[in-house]
Amino acid sequence: MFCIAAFIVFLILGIFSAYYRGLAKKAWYCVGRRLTFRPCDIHFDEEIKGIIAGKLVRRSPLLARFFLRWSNWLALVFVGLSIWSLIYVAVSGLNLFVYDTCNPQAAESCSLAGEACAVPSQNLDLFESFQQGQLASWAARPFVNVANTTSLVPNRLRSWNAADFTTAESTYYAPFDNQKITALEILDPGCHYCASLLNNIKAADFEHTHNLTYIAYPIPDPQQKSGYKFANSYLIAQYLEAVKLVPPSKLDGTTPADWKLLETILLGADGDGVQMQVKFNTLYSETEAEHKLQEMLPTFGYDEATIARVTEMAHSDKVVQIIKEHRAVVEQQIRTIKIPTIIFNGRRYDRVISSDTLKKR
Amino acid sequence: MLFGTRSRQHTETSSFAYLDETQLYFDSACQTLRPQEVIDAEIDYYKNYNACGGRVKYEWGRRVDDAVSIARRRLLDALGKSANEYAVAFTLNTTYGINLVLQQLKVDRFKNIVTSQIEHNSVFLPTITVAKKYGLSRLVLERAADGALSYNKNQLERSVVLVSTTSNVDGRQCVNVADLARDTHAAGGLLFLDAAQSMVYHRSLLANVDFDCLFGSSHKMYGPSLGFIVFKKSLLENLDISFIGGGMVSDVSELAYSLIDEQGELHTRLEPGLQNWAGIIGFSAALEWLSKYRPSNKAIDVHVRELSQTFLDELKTIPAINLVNSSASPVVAFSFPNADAHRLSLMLSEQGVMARSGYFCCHYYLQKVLKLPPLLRLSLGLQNTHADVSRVVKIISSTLQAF
Repeated sequence: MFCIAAFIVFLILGIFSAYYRGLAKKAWYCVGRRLTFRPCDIHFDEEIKGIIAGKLVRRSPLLARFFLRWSNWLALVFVGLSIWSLIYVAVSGLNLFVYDTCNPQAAESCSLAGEACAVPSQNLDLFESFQQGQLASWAARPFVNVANTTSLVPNRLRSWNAADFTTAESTYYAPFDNQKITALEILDPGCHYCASLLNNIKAADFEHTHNLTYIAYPIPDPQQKSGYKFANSYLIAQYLEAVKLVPPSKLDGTTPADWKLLETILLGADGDGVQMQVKFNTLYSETEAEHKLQEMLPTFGYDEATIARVTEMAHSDKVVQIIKEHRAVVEQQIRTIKIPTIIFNGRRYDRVISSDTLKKR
Repeated sequence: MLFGTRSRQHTETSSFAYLDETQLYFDSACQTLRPQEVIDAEIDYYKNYNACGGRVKYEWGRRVDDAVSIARRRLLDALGKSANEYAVAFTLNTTYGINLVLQQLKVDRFKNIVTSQIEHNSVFLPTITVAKKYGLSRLVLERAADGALSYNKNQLERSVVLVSTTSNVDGRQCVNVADLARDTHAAGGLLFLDAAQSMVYHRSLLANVDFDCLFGSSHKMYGPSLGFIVFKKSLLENLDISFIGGGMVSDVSELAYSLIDEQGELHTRLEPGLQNWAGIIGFSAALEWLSKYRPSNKAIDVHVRELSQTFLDELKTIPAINLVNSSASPVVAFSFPNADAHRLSLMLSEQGVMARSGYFCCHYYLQKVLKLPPLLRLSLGLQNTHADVSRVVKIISSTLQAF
């Protein structure tokens, strides 16, 4: 066990110095028991133990004694931790490849992940699992997660076609053009990274070079009172879908009203200079938010009568069903855990991407 | 300053002033440290007359030849031997010298090859190979507690006797070596001596010993890495020179050659090819240094005898020590019941103490005959002082607390 521990240490140190690479090689031979024991010499693990004990004995013979007595156990713990770390790194790497985050349970905590709003894990923690008598499933979860992630590897490698996920209700920023490639963005109106991505889209003129459509996906979060990560996202999604179903009495330009509403929420600011998205997320109650949405509609060509219809439609079973279907597409077909996710040109990005990337054909 | 920046305050001469006083070198039985004078002599050669010897006519070459001649003479003088009877050849080391002679021995007139239990592998192994190669009987004799070879005269009949004069394990000396020489020759044999461990502290043992061949190492005599053979010129009659090359012949034809046979050049028979000129010159400086050096204003053997006694006395104060030595010696080997010698050696190394662990190439005797575990060996050198000895014993004692 000591040889294995030494091998791990020298392998890492060997990255920086050829001297340690030599020691790593010796340790590896020792691991394989291929190091010949010679009476004039000493086995490699004994050599390393002696050197370490020699350093310790200068400080305290008792410390050296402790080390010599427990060195094999210490090595066992070290190797155990190293193997665990190695597995953790491998799983993190797999997660990074599949989900674009090393920690799918808390995607935003991974510094290697791209900018995005994480979809919180629905898994129970240890205490909750204990309370609900699901300790076995809690213990099995890491393995289940790895299995699930592994099963998604082909998903990551496949060619992604945005048109496969568009729905009957899909609208396009610019009029649909058969000559252009379709791009689909999954967004949450409350996620500030979605605002960043829309900024980049506009900077790249992506909305005109592609048939750009979206799915509004309010990120679910059982921990929140509203049931969603951003308090008014679901309400906004309702209005976006309602606006799609109830055209304005007078439409300026070619951009659909729902896109205009979305653009205003994500990029616009109120009269006091505060961003609309911030207000919807942090200041408005549900009633105030709905009132604000209704206030916006005339700007997009809605009169009083159509606003009433939009309001009615937003709370209809039909819209609820549409949002439910959209959620199923996101969670069961696309299976993203990071918002925004954008699909175009055969690829899928689970993060904010730059305008330069968006410009690439 | 080659090895450190702090001077060794307790060293009374400047010969080892370059040593870092935090480093305690106790492996002189393996290789002695080089005094500044030896280092200077080698540097002088490299800088001022760095040529080959034995074959060139220009000035630098002549200087090399002169210096090498002086080295041969100094070695013979140190042993009290006449250049008329003996010659000196330089080799790689003691082991190489022994093999060079044994492998070229005309064995027809010999019946046995005799050695002893306590021998270093440099002696023990070549006697095995030669016995097998030439079908000689090999006798492995015991050594008494005082180091004397236990033999009866019949065992020496037509024998090549090869023994060490001082053990590299416990410093035991072959105290009856002079008798052994007389009896060997009387029985029609040859006496070869491994004197590697005797040449500095026990050279008096060799005085008046009528050996046929003596092997030693400059690097155990405060000189550079180099071996030597001091041999009777008459020994050449018993050698079939077959390891041969440059610098050995007076004439060469297509199918034959003539070896140099001038009396003053007979060393060439055992010196094929170019030699380690710098090493030989450094060795000459070491011999001169040894003839003059007086540690603590005492003769070397007196100083080392006192230091050895102090060392043994202090070691005996460590509880549970198992000493191999029965008496004081510059070479002391020992073990402890619960402390692995290799591990102990490594732990001492981390505290600046350089000591050997294992069987010191005497596996047969220590492992098979005495059945001992690996040992720790500390061997004194002329750089060591009484303060060093006390310090190392203290370090060993504190290190043992870790076991």
